[in-house]
Amino acid sequence: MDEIPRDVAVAVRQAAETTIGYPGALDDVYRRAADRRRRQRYVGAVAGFVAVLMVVGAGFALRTRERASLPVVEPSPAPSITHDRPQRLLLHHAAGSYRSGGRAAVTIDRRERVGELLGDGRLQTYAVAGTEGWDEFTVLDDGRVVALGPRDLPPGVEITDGPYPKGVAVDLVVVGPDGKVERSRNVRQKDRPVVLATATETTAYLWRNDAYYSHDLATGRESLLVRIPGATTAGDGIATAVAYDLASNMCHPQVRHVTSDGSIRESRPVNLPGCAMVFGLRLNRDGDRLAASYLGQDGWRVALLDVEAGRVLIDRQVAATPGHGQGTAVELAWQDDQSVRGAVLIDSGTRELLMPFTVP
Amino acid sequence: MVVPTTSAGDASARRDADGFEAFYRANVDRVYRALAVTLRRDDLAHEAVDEAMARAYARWPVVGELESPAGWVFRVGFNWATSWRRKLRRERPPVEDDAHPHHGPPDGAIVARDALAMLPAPQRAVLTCRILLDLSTAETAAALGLTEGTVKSRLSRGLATLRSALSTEE
Repeated sequence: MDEIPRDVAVAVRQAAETTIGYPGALDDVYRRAADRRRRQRYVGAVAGFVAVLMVVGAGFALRTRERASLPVVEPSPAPSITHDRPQRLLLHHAAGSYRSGGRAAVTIDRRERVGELLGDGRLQTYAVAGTEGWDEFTVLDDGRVVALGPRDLPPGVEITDGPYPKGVAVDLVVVGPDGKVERSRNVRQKDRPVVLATATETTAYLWRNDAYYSHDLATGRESLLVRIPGATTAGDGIATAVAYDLASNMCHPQVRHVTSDGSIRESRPVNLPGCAMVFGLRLNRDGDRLAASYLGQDGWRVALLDVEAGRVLIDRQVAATPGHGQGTAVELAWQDDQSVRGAVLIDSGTRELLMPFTVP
Repeated sequence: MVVPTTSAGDASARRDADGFEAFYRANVDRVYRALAVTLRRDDLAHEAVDEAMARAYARWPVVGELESPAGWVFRVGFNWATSWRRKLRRERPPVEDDAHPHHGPPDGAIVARDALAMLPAPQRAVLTCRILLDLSTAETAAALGLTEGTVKSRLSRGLATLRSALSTEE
């Protein structure tokens, strides 16, 4: 179908006319362009300095390459999982300056640092490395970070494989506790936007459109675990289960269990009363409990769900309805099978707030 | 606010010389409206079109020679707005329509806007390129960095959803 029906074209034009016209000015564009030029000059200078360092360090690099070309050691079997450890409360949506527990403000911008809210109320940050910023990240028990983010390619190097900007790679990186990049791999694929759901010491779990994959960190080999047509990207995943909300049936989160023999078992959808939008889902380590943050009639709420029984165990408000132009995000982490620790992040436009909570 | 670094005279001479200003004045409003419809956020569309226009200006000798510079600006603005840097803002719940600084739109426009809101952003992007920017299938494909087949597929699905939604409202 290549022709546009006239009634549809008229309707779309009418929709566009409901917006007040462009409110900007040409001078703003010129200023923005001048700003970009200044930044690029700075980056160029830094790149030149780095180039000198690279020449000086060539010998070292060669030695390193020899090490890197050694046969890849097969990943050790996944460590036995103990399910009594609390999950880390990672602040995926933080962007700004936050205070917690009366301590000094900590800046988390996802370009240079990401953050975690520790159990004692302190904010722990991790330096971004290997990419220009981390879209998603997870912190392993050994302190390493597995993260996904964009990396600009040098001018002239373009990737033309999809709807995203040319000249950008999407790297999956493993960063050691010392901040050094241990592994880096471009995982961008044509027409398949990628989202990092979670990771273990050996495996990253990725959403690509409506499918959920395991990605071997050592080899890059990907295996399809489950495909869920219509799943929204609010979903969470662990090695043995994925949580999702269907665009056609929003506010009814479900879980699919991926069993060791590759078969799939689907839980019944759970109704969230008064729900307007599910913001985030977090599975517990066993995959039998699901925490959902959602926008209800009276504000942001968090519900703890029994996946097998398909029912809400606890449901409570954690923040008021956001005001006009105010951004709110809710982060969740299971502490045990009964309780969830969380944080409400509010961007009022002028300042950022972090409000910890526990459910129940 | 960034302090300007050039005098008014310099800027004026520059504008006259490069032809970018004529392009800007002829296209900025329709690209902005196309982005506003696609992104469903007027403020984000404003920022996106400014960023994309700034990039177009920086590369004008090349961008100006493209088959559809407006399509290029739309794509850059769309990509910029949907990149990770804008994620937090995108995840804000949609602002209530009453709070939108819209003219009192006719009922049909509201219905159309709601129907468009039902579409995934990539389908909206294709529809707005075709309808609001008057790009052909090939030009849309080039502007969005897609194959023509993908453009046709998204157009087909978007049109089907829109027609269904519009006929239901009638």
